Amino acid sequence: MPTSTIINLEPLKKLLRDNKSAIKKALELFLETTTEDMFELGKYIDSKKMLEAARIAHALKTRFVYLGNDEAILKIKRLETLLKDGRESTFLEIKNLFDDLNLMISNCLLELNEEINALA
Amino acid sequence: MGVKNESYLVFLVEDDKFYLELLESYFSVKKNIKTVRFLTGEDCLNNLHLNPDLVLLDYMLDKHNPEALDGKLVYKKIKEITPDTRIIVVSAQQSADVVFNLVKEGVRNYIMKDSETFDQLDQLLEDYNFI
Repeated sequence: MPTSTIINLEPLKKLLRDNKSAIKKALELFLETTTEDMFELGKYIDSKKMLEAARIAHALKTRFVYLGNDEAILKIKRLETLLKDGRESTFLEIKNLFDDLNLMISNCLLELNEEINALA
Repeated sequence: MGVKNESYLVFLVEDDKFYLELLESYFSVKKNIKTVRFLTGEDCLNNLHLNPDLVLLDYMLDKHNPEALDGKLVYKKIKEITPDTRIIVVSAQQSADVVFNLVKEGVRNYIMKDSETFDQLDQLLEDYNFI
């Protein structure tokens, strides 16, 4: 398996008792659901549907616990808080945070894809 | 209270497919426990006739549908229909208001979704004598 730099799969591997097929299935689901969620999140933010966006951020936050990327978790938490508050004055911060997060998560997903390929 | 080595039916009510997979994998090695998965609270309620011994219930269900029943409402309805069913709420909700309202509704077992979740779940299943 490749050596990860921005994700740490140890918590997930431990939970899944190092079962390669279970890890692969979980990672594929992570990739699929996170890709969908990031698309939805961007769409909701652009249309200023803050509560809908907050629900997606909440789901992302939980999932990232198992990818061991604390920086992403902190950013998602902050985004969820801002979205729940729904203040017009923080919209620019929300947009910037989403853009940062989008880049960070895209890199995580690329690395994740390598992990999945290595498990194939 | 359960009896060790008996068979138990556990409902997993979770809208996140990734987390649902983790839960299923966690239970898959517990040979006396059978699980049934539901992505919405509504589906869970429609299947209560199967008489689950335990329901693992997420708080925020169906993230794409703000009108969907949340964990608190599903909890309330399960308790109305099958009062003896054990329920564990498993959620990433950190809001004190949400947790307070769940406790007010009667929730006694609330587990945070974090790196300790499955250890806490082990403890509760032991307390129930399921494992």
